[in-house]
Amino acid sequence: MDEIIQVFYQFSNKTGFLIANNTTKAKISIICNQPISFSSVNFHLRYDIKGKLNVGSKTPLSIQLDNNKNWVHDNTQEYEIEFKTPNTPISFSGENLEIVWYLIVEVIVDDRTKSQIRSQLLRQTKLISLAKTYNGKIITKHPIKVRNIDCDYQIVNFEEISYQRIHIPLLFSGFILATDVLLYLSGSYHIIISSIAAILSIGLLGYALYKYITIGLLGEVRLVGEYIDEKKFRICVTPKKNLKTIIGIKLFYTITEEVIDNRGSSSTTLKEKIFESKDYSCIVFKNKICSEINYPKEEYPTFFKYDTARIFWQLHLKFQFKNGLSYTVNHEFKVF
Amino acid sequence: MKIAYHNLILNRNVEYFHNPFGGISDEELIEVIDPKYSFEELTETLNQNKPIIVQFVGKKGRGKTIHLRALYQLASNSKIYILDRNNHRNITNPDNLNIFIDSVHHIPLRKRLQLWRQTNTSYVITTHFPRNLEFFFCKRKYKTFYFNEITSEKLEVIIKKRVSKFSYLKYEDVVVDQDILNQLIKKFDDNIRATLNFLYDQFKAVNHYG
Repeated sequence: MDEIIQVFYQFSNKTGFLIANNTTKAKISIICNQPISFSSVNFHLRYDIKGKLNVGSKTPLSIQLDNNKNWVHDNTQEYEIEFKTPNTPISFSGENLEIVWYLIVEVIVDDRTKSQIRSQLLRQTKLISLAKTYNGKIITKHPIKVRNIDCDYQIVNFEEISYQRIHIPLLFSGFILATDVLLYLSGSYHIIISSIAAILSIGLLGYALYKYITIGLLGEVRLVGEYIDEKKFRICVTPKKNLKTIIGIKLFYTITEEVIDNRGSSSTTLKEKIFESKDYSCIVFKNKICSEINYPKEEYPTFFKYDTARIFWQLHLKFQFKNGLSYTVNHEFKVF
Repeated sequence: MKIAYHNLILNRNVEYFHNPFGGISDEELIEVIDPKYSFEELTETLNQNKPIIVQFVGKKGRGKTIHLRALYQLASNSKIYILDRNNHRNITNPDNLNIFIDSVHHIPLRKRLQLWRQTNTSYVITTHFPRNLEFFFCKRKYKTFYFNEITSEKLEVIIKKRVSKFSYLKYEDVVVDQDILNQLIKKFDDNIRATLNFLYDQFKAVNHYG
């Protein structure tokens, strides 16, 4: 359908790409190669979620350029529009996931032009069904880039209380052990199964004990993420008790892309880390432990989720205790 | 020679819109797919006077789902269900509609037989093995299309179509190395999705366009 119209575009920033969250003027020129009548001409900014997955797409911006006109052959139309580029997601090319933006000009033709195009299609292709199912739209698609060239980010403030539940592994361990003993007493004792159950139970008991003498010492842990500016954010950790048992907290954050490829009849989860920050140390102030963290200095995608694809930011806090042990808490947070 | 992207696609300095070997959107399907069976034949089979069940049979990655999606676009008055373990419950079968079902094995046998018994509905399904017995049991007319085997010519067309669709290269200008093409077939046999996933990883190793 590309040959019916030709579309040219120019952005006022003269960069050839769009800057997320910025207002841009665009000049759209449409050259018409055959007479058409239409009900509307629309401009869209659309992104496709591509990669090793079922492709999806979203159109966050649509502007009507024109309506109810006839264009003759060689007709050139120029439109100037102003719009604010959506602030997320930016164009992205990752390991298994890509976010590809398109500038789309769509002409919705009237019934007369629709049947003309249909007969053209019938002449060009042997595939009658293709012409039959023609939907009456002339669409031109130009791949463009949406960028965050200043590398500005904004955390969504959060406050999370993390309860360290040591009783769950304890309960499981007790349950397995009790079942094992009951089986032994009832005479249905099986040496291999019982041994595996006993090892599992001891393992869970060990894990519960390890949690109890590390993070469990702190009771509840309050985790707060706060906006400072576009270049940094603050993370504060407030344990409910036993603050003095902590000798240090190291924290860093990661950005990960996750894709569930469920094309066809099987499903595979593909996870790739695309960024890992440096380690930050925390400063103890009164009963709070805080640290100022820098956002990446390069362009990375912010929080994104679409169907089976997502990009998420995650904090990793490694508590080091006086007893020589350490414990890591992971927490996902949103950045736009 | 090693199976690397630059050894396979011999054109240099090509500007790509994105990785050409990933999933395909519905609007790109008809242009990108190289049909194993002509769509004329498939649509004619489906549009016969008497309702029919068309089954696409083959192992995973052989192109059944992509043909189902493409044919769906060409069939009017149709509904498509891409199934996983849970969503088969949503299938309804109003009269005089063509129903397209991907991964029919997710539907329990009892419900499948219920569907096939709707004699005024035509179905197009994908399945790993033929369901002839079920159709016979429900006295349904059916036709089977097998998805297996690939030739180097076919794989070449698939690769060329993708490269030309997602770059500024024209189809006829894409140069593919025959030796590497044969190596790909030796490595992945007729598993097209595994081949394309492999090429996806090969492509991103050498093309930094983001």
